[in-house]
Amino acid sequence: MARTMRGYFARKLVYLFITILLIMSFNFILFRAMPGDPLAAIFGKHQPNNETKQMWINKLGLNDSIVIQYFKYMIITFQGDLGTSFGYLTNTKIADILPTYLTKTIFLSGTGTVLAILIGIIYGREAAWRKGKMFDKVATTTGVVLYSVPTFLFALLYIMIFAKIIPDWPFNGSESDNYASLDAIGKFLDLAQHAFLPILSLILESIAGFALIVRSSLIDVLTEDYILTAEAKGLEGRDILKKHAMPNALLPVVAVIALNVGWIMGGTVMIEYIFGYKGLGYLAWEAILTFDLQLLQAVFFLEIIAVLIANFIADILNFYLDPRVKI
Amino acid sequence: MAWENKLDYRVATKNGVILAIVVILFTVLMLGSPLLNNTGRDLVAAILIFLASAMVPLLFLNLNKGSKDQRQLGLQIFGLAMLTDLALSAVIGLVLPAVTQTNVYDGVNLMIVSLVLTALIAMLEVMAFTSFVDIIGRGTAKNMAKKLGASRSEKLRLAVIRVNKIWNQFKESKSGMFALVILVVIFGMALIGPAIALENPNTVKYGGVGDSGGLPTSPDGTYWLGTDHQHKDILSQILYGAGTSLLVGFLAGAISLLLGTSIGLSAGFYGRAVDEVLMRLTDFFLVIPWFPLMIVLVAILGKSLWIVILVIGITSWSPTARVVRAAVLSIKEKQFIERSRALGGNNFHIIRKHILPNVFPLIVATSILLVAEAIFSEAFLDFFGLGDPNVVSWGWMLERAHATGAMLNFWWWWILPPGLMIILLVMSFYLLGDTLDEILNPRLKRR
Repeated sequence: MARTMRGYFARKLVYLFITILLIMSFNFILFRAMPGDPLAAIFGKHQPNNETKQMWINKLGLNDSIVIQYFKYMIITFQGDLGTSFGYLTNTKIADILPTYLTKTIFLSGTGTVLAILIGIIYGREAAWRKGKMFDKVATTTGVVLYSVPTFLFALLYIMIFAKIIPDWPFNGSESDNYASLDAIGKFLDLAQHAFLPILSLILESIAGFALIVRSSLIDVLTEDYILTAEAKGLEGRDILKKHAMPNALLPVVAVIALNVGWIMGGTVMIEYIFGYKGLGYLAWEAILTFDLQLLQAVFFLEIIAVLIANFIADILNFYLDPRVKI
Repeated sequence: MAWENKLDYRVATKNGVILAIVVILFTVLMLGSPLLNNTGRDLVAAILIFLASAMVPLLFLNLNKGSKDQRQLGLQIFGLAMLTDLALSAVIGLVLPAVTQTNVYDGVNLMIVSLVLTALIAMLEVMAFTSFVDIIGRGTAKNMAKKLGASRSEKLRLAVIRVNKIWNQFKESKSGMFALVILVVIFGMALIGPAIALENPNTVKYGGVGDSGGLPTSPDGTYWLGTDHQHKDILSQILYGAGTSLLVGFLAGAISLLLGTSIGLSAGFYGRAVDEVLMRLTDFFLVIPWFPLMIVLVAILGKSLWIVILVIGITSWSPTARVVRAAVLSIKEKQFIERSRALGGNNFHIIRKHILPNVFPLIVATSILLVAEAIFSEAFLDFFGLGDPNVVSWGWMLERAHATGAMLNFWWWWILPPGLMIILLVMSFYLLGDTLDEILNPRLKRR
């Protein structure tokens, strides 16, 4: 068993590495296949003086052949140099400013994912348990409707309703201006208050998605023969659900979590933009606004790496939970 | 093909070609005429597109040859193709220019693209309608069945029964019918919307001098859904936006479907190295977050409706490829494939005759879901300010509302209508896809 696990782990790791290499190559091609001067792509509308330009031509080796440029780019990126921002921020190393933005995005999407999974599972379980009854019908219809609502629409509606009822509610940013002067509890409450609406908008769609999957998977499982056996043994309804049905019904959910991370990441971009929450998505928006392609490239790269790592973790989890993967 | 001996696809009518050239020359001359205004040019362009697409069936269907039955059938197909062409050319020549604010004649490129597209579609139409008359035209089927041999009439009868069965099952599904009704309404909005709208949302219109930043007005007798901050009618924008959403949904969905199906088919059918390479590519697209990828692509390629469609198409095919591949893998091992090969069927024959028909039900359901996701993505991109700034769409409306601060001021009439339309449209496609999936690919046995 240990050997197969190591083999599985190694294979996934190799795939992860290949995918990262692919992404980097893709990034390289994408931002160099653009029509026109590559320097224009790097600096955008903020053209520096000739000396800086010359320095960048030397540094990126734009006079070299495309193959050498490619290897140089790969090496530089592996060393953690994500380029320099010339649009949104002037002459700042992108790698230096990204961590603060990254933590906010990870906080939003991490909390969102965990909450969405927990609530979604309970929601779907209760609906499946009452299959065909009123509760199920209402829950499923609500689920389908919620699943069709774009994330940004939730955000707009919340802001509209909250602005009407509680005009003082903070709609912008991740903390108040006087954040530094607050005590520990005040700081926590302030952060929570600012994160409440973004997370609420972020998770509703995912909750619906998870709930619908859990429901259909649980309904499938509940018709299996071993459930009948459990019933014949004299187990009570809820015990069957807890001990026999749920563990099996959750397997497809674990597989979907990995795919959902990318989805939530996409939603985060939108939510951060609407709420002015200074995470990676907000940075991407600013980068587009200022035509700062170097920054956009870095943000894109980082988001993909984050999703890849989350996927990797989900794969490993899946291995422990689903014995079929081991074959 | 059932009617191979009836409709000779290869015989082109010489007169048809000459007529086509004369008509096209004449219309091109007309287009240059200073007598026409822009709308007139669009109209002429629409007629030109219509004639071009009408020519193609004429070339393919040999209407003055063969027996009476054959000619009658040819005429029926021709009629059906005509009707579709009429709708199509109206969309390309009249609705599209109104929505995208480009006159067809303005861009010669767009003109050529439309012509080529229509000709292609017309060709597909002939093929599709031949089988359509085959299956759906029950009256014809009965007529033909009487005159044809027993085996063919039996085939037709079975086909009719199958279509009826699917429809009967579909009718039972409440959510499916609900979705169908909503979709028909939205299609209607897209087709006649621009004609019945109060005003063209693209016309520059201010309440008065220096009134560009005025306040939106709430719904009243003239403006049923109120106006935005430039005193433009919200209802008109909703009507114009329907066409954009459907256009993006179907075109992007088609691109994505084509890519996904062909990649999944090749991966599953050829296996080995092809499979490995294509599946790594699919995994790659499956894993990277779709929205940032779309943002980057659109930001680099430029904000235009066509680029948005293309980008959505090429970023969303991976799930389809997976599904199709899995289906092909299971079908490939069936015995009838082996037998077909033993009888001398080559790869192309096997894919076309045995594999495609078997994965087809799967593709139908998937393609409808793809349309829903494309509409979703378009709204996202538009809202993020990456849509075509000249094209009215529901996402675009919400973006402008957001930028103007409509939420903080509780201008609900500016947010709820486009939001609701997006939800309804996306939901209808989801439900329709789900219902068809349940009927065509029965997995969940009703125990």
